[in-house]
Amino acid sequence: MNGFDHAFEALFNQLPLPDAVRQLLTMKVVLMLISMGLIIGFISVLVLFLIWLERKISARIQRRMGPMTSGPSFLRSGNMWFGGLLQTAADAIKLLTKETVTPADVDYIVFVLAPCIVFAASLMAYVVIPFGPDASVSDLNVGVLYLLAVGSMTVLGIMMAGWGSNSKYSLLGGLRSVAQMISYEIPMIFAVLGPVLMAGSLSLQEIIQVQERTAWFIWPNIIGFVVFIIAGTAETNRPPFDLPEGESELVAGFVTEYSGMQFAMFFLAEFSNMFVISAVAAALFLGGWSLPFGITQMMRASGMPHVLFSALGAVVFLTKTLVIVLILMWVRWTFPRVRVDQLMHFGWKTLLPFSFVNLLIAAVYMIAYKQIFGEAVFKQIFGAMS
Amino acid sequence: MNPYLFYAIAAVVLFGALGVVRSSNIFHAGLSLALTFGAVAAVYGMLDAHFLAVVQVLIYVGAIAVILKFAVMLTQHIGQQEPHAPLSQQFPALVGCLAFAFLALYAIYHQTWALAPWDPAHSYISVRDLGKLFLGQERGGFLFPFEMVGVLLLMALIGAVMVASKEES
Repeated sequence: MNGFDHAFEALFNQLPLPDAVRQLLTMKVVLMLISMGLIIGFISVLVLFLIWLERKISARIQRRMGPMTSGPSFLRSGNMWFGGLLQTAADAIKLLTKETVTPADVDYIVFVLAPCIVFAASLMAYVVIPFGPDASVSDLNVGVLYLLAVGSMTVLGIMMAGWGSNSKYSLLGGLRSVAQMISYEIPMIFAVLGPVLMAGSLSLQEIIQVQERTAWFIWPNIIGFVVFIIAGTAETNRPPFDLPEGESELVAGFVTEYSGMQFAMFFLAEFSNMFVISAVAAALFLGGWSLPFGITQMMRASGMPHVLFSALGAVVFLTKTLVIVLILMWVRWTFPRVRVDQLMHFGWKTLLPFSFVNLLIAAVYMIAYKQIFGEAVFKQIFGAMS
Repeated sequence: MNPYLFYAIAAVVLFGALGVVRSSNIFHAGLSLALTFGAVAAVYGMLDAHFLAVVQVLIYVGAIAVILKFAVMLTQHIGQQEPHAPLSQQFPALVGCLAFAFLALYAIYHQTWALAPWDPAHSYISVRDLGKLFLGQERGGFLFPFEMVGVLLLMALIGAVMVASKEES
């Protein structure tokens, strides 16, 4: 059965616990809280690691060394690649201890709620991410659509930040960010429709299971993959689409008036969103936790314990996600920042037609597959998609 | 369906709706509207209409509330204006609202609704079934309304582009 809560329930039923404790621990609410705690713990460590990784990679691309001094002493001086591992932890502590300066004329409720909503939306996306077979918090039947809905909540939070800060830089940054995000949501939806069409389901685990039976969905949907990566970069305000936070044009865009912990929340939400986009791209296009050429099916049939199978699947999934994260970080220092009119042109006039073409190619592929391989094989591989 | 959970979500809906109507700052009213939409999506989720709940958030919160906020942000000085209704208008408005509420509640409670019994085991309609209903050409199908809504949206889009381009030139 899918879900961390079922896994924890099975675990608690197997451990030798006094009955009252077991009754308490297997309540639905407690299981949900434990799953959420697991996800939040994962996100904390993940974001620390990603920020360090980003700084190291940016540094190496620019022929400098990046953070070198904070961290375990055996990694400190000679090692260019792994020095400064705990730099982000130090930065986080610094941000936590900074004074939160609230300007006088801000709309207080809106100002304070905005980073909470942005971070909450980012957290909500982790519910459907398939870390492994039977290892997602809750595999919703409308998983893909849920991710898009949660992305729209981020738009709301950024608008609140832009308006509530009562400053012209914030307002402009907020408006630009919202225009960018809603313009690039549509190519993203159409790019995602290719794999959804091929799998016949909106549930992420089921999309991965169909890819396990057939090839990765990137091959017929290569245009869609590229469109998704570009649109995802724009959705999360990553460079080269970081005009809303443009440091040279708008001071800091919609985060100008935020300091300390509130700034940290926006920053964390950006990296967390980057991971979500990479994870979704890995799940939809690169086969998620499954390995190609039937290796996963062999592993499943070999009778290894299910926990080991899930763990291996999680390792595969995280590796693929890390590859895409590295691509996103690489792109940051490869392209110059996109101007706002170029951004709108590109989104509506280039990406959108390409995403339509991708949907067409995916549909033609499905029809051709059915004609060539016959209806029986088609039904067996693509499930109930008839 | 847990009645306490439903009452809690309904309280949030009512709180949001009251916030929309009674808020003096129009941006706060827009935010309350987004909260109302979100809570209604929660009610849809409780009724096992998962697709509808997610689409409600995607469209209402993600698009309509954002458009409203855009209109507020791009209109000068609208944030400083406070909607004032003179007291001589408030009392007739209250009477009108109460009359309408009474009429609506009377109509709802004295109607015999043809309801099917709630069967939690079979209450979930999958997206595939929804898709088949949308494209169904038989009597219970929604193909014709679906296409008509598409044409309507296209007309609205073309009209908006025409109005916007006329204003520029």
